[in-house]
Amino acid sequence: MKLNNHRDVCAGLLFVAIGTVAVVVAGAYSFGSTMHMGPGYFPVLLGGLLILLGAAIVARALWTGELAPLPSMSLRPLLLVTLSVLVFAFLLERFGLVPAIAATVLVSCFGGHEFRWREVVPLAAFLALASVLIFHVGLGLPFLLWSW
Amino acid sequence: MTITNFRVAGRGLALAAATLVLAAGTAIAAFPEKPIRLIVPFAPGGGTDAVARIVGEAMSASLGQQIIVENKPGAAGNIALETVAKAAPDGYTLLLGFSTSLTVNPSLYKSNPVDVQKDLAPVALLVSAQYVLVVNPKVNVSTVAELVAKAKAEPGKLNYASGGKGTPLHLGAEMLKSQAKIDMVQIAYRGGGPASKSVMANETQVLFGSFPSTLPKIQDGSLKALAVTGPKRSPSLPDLPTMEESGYPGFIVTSWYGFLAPAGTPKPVIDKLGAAAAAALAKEDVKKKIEATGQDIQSGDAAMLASLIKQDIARWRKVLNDAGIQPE
Amino acid sequence: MSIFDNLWLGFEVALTGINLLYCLIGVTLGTFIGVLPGLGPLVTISMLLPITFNLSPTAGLIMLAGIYYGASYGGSTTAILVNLPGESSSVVTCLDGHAMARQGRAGPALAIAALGSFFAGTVATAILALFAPPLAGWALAFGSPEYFSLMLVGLFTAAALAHGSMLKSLAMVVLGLLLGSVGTDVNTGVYRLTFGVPELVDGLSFVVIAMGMFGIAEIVANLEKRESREVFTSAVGTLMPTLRDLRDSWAPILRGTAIGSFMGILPGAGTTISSFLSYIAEKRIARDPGRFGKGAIEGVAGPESANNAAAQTSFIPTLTLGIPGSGTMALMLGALTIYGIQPGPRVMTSHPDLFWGLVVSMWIGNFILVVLNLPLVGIWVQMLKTPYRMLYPSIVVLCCVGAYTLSNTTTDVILMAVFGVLGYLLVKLECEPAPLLLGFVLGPMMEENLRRSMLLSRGDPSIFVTQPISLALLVSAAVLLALLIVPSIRNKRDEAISEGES
Repeated sequence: MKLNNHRDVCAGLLFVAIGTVAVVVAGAYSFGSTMHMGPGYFPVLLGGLLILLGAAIVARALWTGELAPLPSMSLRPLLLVTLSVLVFAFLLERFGLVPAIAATVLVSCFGGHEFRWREVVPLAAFLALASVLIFHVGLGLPFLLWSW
Repeated sequence: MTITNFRVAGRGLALAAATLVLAAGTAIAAFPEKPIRLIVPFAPGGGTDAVARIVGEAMSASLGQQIIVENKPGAAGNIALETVAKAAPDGYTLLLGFSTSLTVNPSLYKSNPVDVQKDLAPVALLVSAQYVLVVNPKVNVSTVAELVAKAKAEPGKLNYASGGKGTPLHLGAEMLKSQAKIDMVQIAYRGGGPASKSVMANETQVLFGSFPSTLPKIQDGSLKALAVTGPKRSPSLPDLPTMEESGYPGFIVTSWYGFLAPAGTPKPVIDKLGAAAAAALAKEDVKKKIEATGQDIQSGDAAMLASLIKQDIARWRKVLNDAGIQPE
Repeated sequence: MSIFDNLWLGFEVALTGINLLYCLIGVTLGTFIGVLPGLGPLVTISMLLPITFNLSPTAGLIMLAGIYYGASYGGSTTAILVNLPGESSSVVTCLDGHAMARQGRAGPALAIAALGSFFAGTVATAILALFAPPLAGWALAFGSPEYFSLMLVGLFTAAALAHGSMLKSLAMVVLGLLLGSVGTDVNTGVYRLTFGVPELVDGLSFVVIAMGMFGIAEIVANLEKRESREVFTSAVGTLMPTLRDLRDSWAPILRGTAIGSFMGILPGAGTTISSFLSYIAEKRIARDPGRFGKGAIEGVAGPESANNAAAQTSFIPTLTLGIPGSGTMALMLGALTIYGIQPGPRVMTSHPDLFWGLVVSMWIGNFILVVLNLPLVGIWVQMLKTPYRMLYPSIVVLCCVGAYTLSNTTTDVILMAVFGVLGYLLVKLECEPAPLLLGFVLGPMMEENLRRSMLLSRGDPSIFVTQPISLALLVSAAVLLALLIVPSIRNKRDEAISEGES
């Protein structure tokens, strides 16, 4: 068994983990029988299947020893883009659409390669204005626009 | 202190009190000063949403402020319930309450996020709808009595379609089962639409369906109607007896919508909103549009809604108990 | 009345100034809505419903219908350009369509999508006009066992979608199925896997998962590449499809139209499955299936035609049976009732002007759409030239707003972020998101119909093979499975043989 295929081992383990969570949580629901399936039947079955498949993936990775190193992940884009979405969720209902969009643009731009204030600020303003016009004015969707 | 001082103090206090009351009264008289949010517990589209928008539009005109519909669907109406119960009791947040989520959920679920009778204040009753007991023509019965007889002759063979646990479709059938002492198997679908399709296809045979989803099929013969479930006969199907007339006194299954506000909203504000709602419902075009959705206008004030809620909570608790359905 | 009289009546109605105007407004608005990620025809139609009260029922319905099928045109635009499926039916378009865009071939992709959709829409409308009542009967013949078997067929195609490791694709499908089971159990009302979050009680939303896994994850992956700053090659090719493209596309378009027209009639199954089935069919039939996923135009032509055909034929059960196939159709039904029109087999005779006017205006609408969308191709391609550092925040904002407008709750936005991270991880580990999405869509219906069939048969599993349609479908599923496994076994055998020889 050669551990060259880190990538697939991780994938397999991820599936095993998710499957286990499913089996544990759904195991609490009534299972029923094959003739009369309860709410827990499918999720537990699927969770179990996922565990099996995950294990199979790990096994295959160890068996064939294909070379597949762990992919490189640069954390900055991941963290900042995700953060920008969460920032939007946090600010929208407390401070309004305009501040939320501005903050999201700002944070997500930090996740990119180049950050130029003279580009980011007008972009944020443009997106905020466009969104207000399209969604709130044009489509009539209710939004808190601006409130401190 | 001398008596004169007391008198001056007393007059001063009275003046202050009067000013406060006047100010409050003006504030209330000035209500509404900004748009009002109407929280609807269903996704856009469908009877509830349509009623909300139709009535809301008419009320906006008379109140002078926009009524903005916000859809907060999910969790059998609980999300909308919670949103309104937690809102400030100033009359600017209203709930379009649906009878099932207000009066059936308390008995269906062990933990409810909102105590309907304590955390919400009724404002007005708007519309109510009754249901119709239909069967697939292949079942070959034309009255409720014949259906019951057939069910008794072949127990456990008939299927009925329901729109999900706790829906009027489910409750009506359970009521019939316990009152007529027959056995039918529940086949649940996601809502009235798929439920009526299944009866048409004879996958299930019995359905307590809503008017909009069954009326056209009754009229063209794909479904056979046996009775209506309201207190009175329906004008669209005048030959159809009610369940009570068919031998089941007290068998009433209706659903209704009303406006509710967070508990603690000042009474004058509630009265003003209620009056606007009643005025909107009296308009001809509003009436026509609502009746086109298969629902009937049932305008009622806050007191009427409050007693209806109390009545229904008790009634559905009994129905669920009799049917052996325990809260979970 | 002969069919020609009816069509003549239809033309008379549809070509009046008012109805033409509202047709135009409807399809334009629909295209626009389709382009915006997240926002879909459902929300738009419900917003505009009160406005239509002041119009005649025909004009109102024409406009709403225009929004509906216009949205599927717009949805393919975003799928191709930024790899964001606006609706479940555009997921497949993302696969090859976006790959083509990255190669500078966004123009031909968009054009073929529009042309294929137009052809499909025309044919499907004709089917609607000629065969609506008998086809409606077909919809009724599909009961719970048939739906289950159909879903099974769909599921096996999911595994066939990917071109990586079979095990990992299967795992993704199962994960999708698992995600689909989050929510309220139909039969018992129990909340499953909701972890106490009330917004999950009605299940996860497809759009949220898609925007997270395709949109956000994609952006993060793009940002990682330090070397190539620009995502799209600056050498954008011709805007119009080449003769070769057209030659390669006409057969997929025909096949896609056939698949979509048929599937759209089945309430609930419709547009998504048609596009997936069409993709698989094209991949199977192609002489060189390895091209799929890397910019094969057949992978755009077929599915786009399929989903547009399905969008049109989904009006059949709604109009003639009063059974809506999806949430948006339910809205249309609601609109019809408010107008005082009872959908049902009699609607053709009781309101001929409405029915035929609608049918003809659908054809006109499709025509307007292709005339509208082809020139727009140039504009969209120009948009791709925006420096990516300004494009991607716009996409993020649009996704956030779009996710919020689904149910006016920030929980959906947070969930989108979660799926963004998950999607990124999975892509890094070389697991494809498309099979997951298909599993997600099919899973709940499969389980529901399986349990329901068992209830109906009182626990007897033979119900699946005693019903003829169900049996036929199960046989096809078995054949499909065999077709999937056999080549891969043969490949492994060939590999083993060649390795042995060297």
